[in-house]
Amino acid sequence: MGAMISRFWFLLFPAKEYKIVVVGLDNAGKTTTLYKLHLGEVVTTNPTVGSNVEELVYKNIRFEVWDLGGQERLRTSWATYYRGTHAVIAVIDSSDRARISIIKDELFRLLGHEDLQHSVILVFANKQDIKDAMTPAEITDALSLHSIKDHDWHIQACCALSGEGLYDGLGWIAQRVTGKAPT
Amino acid sequence: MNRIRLVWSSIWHVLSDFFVTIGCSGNLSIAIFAMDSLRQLSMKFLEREELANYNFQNEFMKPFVIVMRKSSAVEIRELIIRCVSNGFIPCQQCKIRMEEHCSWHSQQQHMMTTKTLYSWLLKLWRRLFEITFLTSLRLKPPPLQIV
Repeated sequence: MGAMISRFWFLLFPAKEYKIVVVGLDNAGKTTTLYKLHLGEVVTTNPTVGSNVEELVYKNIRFEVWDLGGQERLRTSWATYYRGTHAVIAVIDSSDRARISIIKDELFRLLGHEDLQHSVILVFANKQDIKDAMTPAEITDALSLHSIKDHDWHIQACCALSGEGLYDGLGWIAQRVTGKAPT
Repeated sequence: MNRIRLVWSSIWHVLSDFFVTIGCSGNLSIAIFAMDSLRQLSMKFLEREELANYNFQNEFMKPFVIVMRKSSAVEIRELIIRCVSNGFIPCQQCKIRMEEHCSWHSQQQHMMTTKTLYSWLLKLWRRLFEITFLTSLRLKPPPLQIV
């Protein structure tokens, strides 16, 4: 009976579904982030070839999350996954100072794509548990986030291994995408 | 995902033909996208213990073999090899399920699970060898002709 009422409720008020793509360089922690949110635990990961798709339900909002492979040769195929995207999560290894300029180039390249013109951008400053990790303020300066004019953006410090900060970022996305009409 | 394996067998029969057709498409982006979706679907099915125990591994992975034979694009064949070697071994969910077995079931059942996993891996490696063998055949340069 309770199940029937629940099904009837969802039939009457269906949960809206939003698409999120997770991008970033290799070894940034994208797949760990996805499965920490999906399963609630840390899984052993291999370098992602192609993508991983999982569905999250958070505050009665359904998110279809696409985790894309971050190796250099795989970045050229990111564009095929952008269609219908409501939010982009860029996962950054906060201890990877040497490649912060590559991350910036990739970020601004994807911001120019036509399918992402109405998307919001969330930057996860991952691996904050590592000593000598860059703070969100440093990453904001290194990525020139303040020069982004066409998209809502937010940066969130997080640690995918412990789950700290992940739901804060997801809450921001939920607030932003529900606050405006989906494309 | 709650359907019995007989139903899934019929569904997969239709889906595999579709994936083969799209995988051999001339548009590289579409083909890459199709093979990626196929890999994730196969992983989802192999996670189901009921499906993994039967001959469904061959059924699920047959589209990979067919596309490997038919496709003329090197990128597609390379992607298939990397999907098979990276995406299937080790299966993340199988690891988790193994831990569950260790915690909650008896040693007898644990041994049974280990045996099942071994049999599954054996079949998987046989299929993997077939794919690799096809690759080596395809990529080998033609022998020099002495004039």
